Amino acid sequence: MENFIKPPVEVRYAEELAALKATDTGRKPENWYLSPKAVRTFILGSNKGIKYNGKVVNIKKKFFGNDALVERCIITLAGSRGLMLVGEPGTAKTMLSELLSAAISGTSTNTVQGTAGTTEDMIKYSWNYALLLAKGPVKEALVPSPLYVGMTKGIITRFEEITRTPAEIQDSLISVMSDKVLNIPELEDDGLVFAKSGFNIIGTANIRDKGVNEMSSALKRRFNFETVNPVKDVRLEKQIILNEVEQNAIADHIEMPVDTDVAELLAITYHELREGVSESGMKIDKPSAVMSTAEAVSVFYQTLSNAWYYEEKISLAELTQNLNNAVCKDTKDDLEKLKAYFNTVVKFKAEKLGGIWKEFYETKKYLK
Amino acid sequence: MERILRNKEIFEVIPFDYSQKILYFPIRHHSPVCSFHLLNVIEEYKPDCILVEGPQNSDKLIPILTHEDTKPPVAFYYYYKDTQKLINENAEDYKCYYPFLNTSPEYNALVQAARKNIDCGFIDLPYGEILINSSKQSNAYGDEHNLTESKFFEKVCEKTGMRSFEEFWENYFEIKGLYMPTDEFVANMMTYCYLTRTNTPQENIIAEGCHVREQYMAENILRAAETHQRVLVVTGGFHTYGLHRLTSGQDKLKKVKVHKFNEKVQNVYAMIYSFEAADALNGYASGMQNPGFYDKAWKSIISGEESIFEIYDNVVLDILLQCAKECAKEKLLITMSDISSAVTMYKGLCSVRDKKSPGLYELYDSVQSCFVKGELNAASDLPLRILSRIATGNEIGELCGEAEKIPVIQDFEEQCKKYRLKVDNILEQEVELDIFAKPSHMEMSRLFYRMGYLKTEFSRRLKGADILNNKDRSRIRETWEYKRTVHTDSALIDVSVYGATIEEICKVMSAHQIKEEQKCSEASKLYVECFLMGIGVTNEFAVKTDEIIINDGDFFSLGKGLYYFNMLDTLKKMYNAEGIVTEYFLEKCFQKILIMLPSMMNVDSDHADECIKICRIRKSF
Repeated sequence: MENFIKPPVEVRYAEELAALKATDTGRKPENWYLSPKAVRTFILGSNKGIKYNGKVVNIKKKFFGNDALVERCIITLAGSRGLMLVGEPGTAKTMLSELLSAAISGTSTNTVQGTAGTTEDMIKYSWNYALLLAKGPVKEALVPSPLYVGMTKGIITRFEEITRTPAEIQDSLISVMSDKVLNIPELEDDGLVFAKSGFNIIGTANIRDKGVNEMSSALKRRFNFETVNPVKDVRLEKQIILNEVEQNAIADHIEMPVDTDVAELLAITYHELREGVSESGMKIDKPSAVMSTAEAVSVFYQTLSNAWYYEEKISLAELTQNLNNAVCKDTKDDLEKLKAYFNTVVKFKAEKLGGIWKEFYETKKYLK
Repeated sequence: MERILRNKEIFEVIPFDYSQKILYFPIRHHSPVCSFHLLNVIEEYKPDCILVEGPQNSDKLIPILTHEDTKPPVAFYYYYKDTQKLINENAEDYKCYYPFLNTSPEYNALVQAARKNIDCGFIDLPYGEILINSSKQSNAYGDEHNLTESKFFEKVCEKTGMRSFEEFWENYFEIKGLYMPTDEFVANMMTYCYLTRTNTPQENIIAEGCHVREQYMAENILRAAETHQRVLVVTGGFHTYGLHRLTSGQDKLKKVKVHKFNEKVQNVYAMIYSFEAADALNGYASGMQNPGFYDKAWKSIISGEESIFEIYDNVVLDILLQCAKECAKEKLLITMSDISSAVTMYKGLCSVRDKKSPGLYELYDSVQSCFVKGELNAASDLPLRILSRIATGNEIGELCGEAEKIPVIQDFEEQCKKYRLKVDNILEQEVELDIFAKPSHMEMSRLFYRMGYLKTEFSRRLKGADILNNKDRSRIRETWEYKRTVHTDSALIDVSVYGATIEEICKVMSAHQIKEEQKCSEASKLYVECFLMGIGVTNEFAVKTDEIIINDGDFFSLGKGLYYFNMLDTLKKMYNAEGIVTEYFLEKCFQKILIMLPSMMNVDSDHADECIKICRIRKSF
C-alpha cells in the first residue's frame, strides 16, 4: 500500500471490511461479500466501534450528504437492474461506485473506463491473437475484459464515464443486462457465458461535460438512475474537504496539520460560487467552471503541499492563486466573476468578520 | 433511539393511568396513529367528558362537525377584526383555519363524543384572545413548528440518518406505533413531547402565547373535573406537560380575563377544506405531508378489513400502481418491469432501514429510482410530481345541511351548478367560452371576472381579449382556468358583509372603491372592470366619476380615461351593454384634454410618445 499513489478502496479500508465481514449477521444476496446493511454501515459509518482481532475498529463515514441515495443504490444492486450514477463532475460518483463495489464484491478494480475510443472488446473480451492463430478460437485464447470477468466471477463491473463511449458501444450492454448472458460466437457450443449471482453493473456519467453521448432509451430501461448532487450543507462540504485532504496527506507522508479554518473558508467560497448566492443573500455571478467539492479538495491539497515543501504554513496567497487556476480554466469571463466575488462578498465579510476573511481579501491581487 | 422513546419513566412525570380523574392524551394534529390509539383509550377509559384543544368560540360548530353528513376535509374559519387596537396600532383583520381531516385525532374525539353521548367542548382561548396574547401570528390554528422544527429533533434526525422530521415521525410513530400497545405508544409520545417542550426556549413559548393559553385551558379542565368523573383531555403534545403541571398544582394557576367581542369583530364559520390546503408541503404549519396518503391508510385502519400489519404495504402498492397509470396518461411509459423494480426497491429499503412496513418515503424513493430515467431535474421529475399529487389527494370535503349557509357561498355554489362548473375537487379545470354566440357563456365570463375582482383566486383567463391592457382585442372566444380552493371560500366569507350574492357584492364594493379614487385613469379602469363583470353602475357611481374627471388635472390620467371610455363605447354593442353611459364621459375627457393640450408643448421626451398616443385617440373618433 505504501508504494501506491491511490490504493483501491478494498486495500485502504481492508480492516474495516474485514471487521464488518466477521461480525455481519445480516441476510446476504448470493455471492455478496457483505450484507446490504453491512454495506450501508461501511459507506455511511457507524457510531459504534466493532471489536475485531483484539481491537476496536471504527467505521468512518465515507460518503456525505445523502444517506437515502446510498440505500437506494445498494438495493438496486441486489436486484436485476444496473445502477447508473449521474451528476455534475466532482460529486463523488466514482468514489461511491468504488465503495459499493468494494463492499459488495470485495474488489473495486473490475472497471471499464469509457472514452470516445472505447470498443466492444475493451468491455466484453478480446483475443490473444498469437494463441488464436496457433490454436484457433478456444477459451485459452480469450482475453477477458471487465464485463466477462464480472459475469464469470459474480462481481460488480464498474463502467466509468459510460456516456463518453459511442452510443452503439453502450448498447452492447443491452443484451447482457436483459438476459444476463454473453454470447461468444467464436466458441460455438461453448460460447454462452451466464452471469453468476452477484454480477451487476455500476455506471457513472457526467451530464454537463462536453463530448458526451446520449444513452438510448433501451439501455436506460435496464438501469435505475441515481442523481448525485453537490453537497448542499457547507458544514458537510468542509468535513469532506478535511477528510479527503487528510487521507491524501497521510498517503503522501505530508505531516503538516490541516488548517480547519482555511478548509471552512474554502468550503464557503466554493459553495457560494456554485450556488450563485452568498450566505448573506448577495447574488453572485456563477463561473462556468465546475465548482465541485472535488475541485475544492484539489485546491486545498495543492496549497497544503506547497506549504509542506516550500513554506512553514498554509498561505492564503497560495490558496488564492490555486483557486484562480482552478476556476479560470475555460474562459476569461470566469476571472472577472471571481474578481467580482472578491470585490463584493469577500470584501463584505472582511469588513464584517475580519480575521481570516480580511487576509483572504488582501490576496485578491493574485487574481490574474 | 428506541431506548430514549421507550422510557416508561415518563409516566412518573406525566401520569397515564385509567384510574385518574383527568387523563391527558398528547397528539400530533392529523396523525392517524394518534387517532388509532385515542380511539382505544376512549374505549378503555370510558370518559364522561372529552375536552379538545381548540378556540372555545367554536363550540357552537361541534354539532356541524360531527354530523354524519359532514365529510372531512373541513375547517373552522376564524376571523378577528382588531378594531380596538388590542394587538397593535394597525387595527388589522386576522384570520386562520383549523382543519379537520378524517385522520385528525380532534375530529375523531369529537365524533366519538357525539356517538356515545359524552359531554365535550373546546378549551382554548377564543381566537382573538390568542392573537392578543401572542407576538407571533400564524394562519393555521395549532401551528406545530415547535414539535416539528426543534433543534433537539434536528440532532436526532442527523443521528438516525433521517432526512427530515417527517420521515422520522413516520418511521418511529406512524408505522411502528401501529404495532405497539397503546400505553407504550403514549409513553413514546409523552417522551417526545416532553423532550421537545423542555428543549424549547422559554422566550419562544411566551412569545407564542402558550403560557396564557395553557392557563386558560387548565382552568377549563379543572372546571370540567368538578362536574365529571373521567375527563379526557386531547391536546397538541407540546401543551401536555405544561397543562399537567398547572392542573396538578405544580405551577400556579392564574385566571385569564377575556374580552367580550360581538360577531362583527370575532366569529367562526365551518367551511369545506381540501387535502391540498392541508398539506404541510403547501405551507400549512400543522400539516403532515401528503395527507391523502395517510387518509388512505386511515380508511384501511378503521375498516378493519386488513391486518394492521399489511395496511401500509397495501397503501404503498396501490399508490405506486396509480402513479404508473397516471404517468401513462401523461404519455410517460412505465413498464411492468419498472413497477416490479419499484416494489423490490421499497421492500429492500424497508429491510435496510429496519422498518416494519414501507411508508411514504420508501414510496418516493422507489419512484425516483425506478420511474425516473436519467438525471433528476425539472424536465424528468414528472413521475414524482404525479406521485405528489396522488399522495396529497384532490378531495374537498362536504358540510351537512345544518351548517350555516353563508348567502354568498350559496350563491356561488348555485351558479357553479347552473353553469356546470366542476368544483367538487381541487383539480384545475379549463373551459372555453364563446361569449358572443352563447348568452350563457357571456354570463359565465362575467362570473369569472366577478370572482377575480373579489380576489378569490378562483379563475384565471388564459386566452381571450384583454380589454384592460388592449391586447388580443380581436379574439372572440375566451379560455378560462378555474379551481375552487380554500381561499375561494374564505375570500367570499370575507366580503359576505357587503351582500348576499356575488353580483351584489361586486356592485357594492365597486361603489365603495369609486369613492376612494381620485384619478380619471383609475376611475375609468374600474368602469371597464364593471363592464366586464356585467354590473351596471349606479347614479352615485356616475356622479362620482364625473367629479373625478372634473378635478383631475393630470393630462395622462385623462388620456387613459379617454382611451378606456372610447373602447367601451366601441364595444358596448358587441357585449350587449348598450345601457352603459360612455359618450358623456368620453366627451368630458376630450374637452378637458383639449383645454390642457397647449400646455403639453413642453412635455419632456420621456412622455412625448404617450402624449402622441393620446392625441391619436382623440383623432380616431
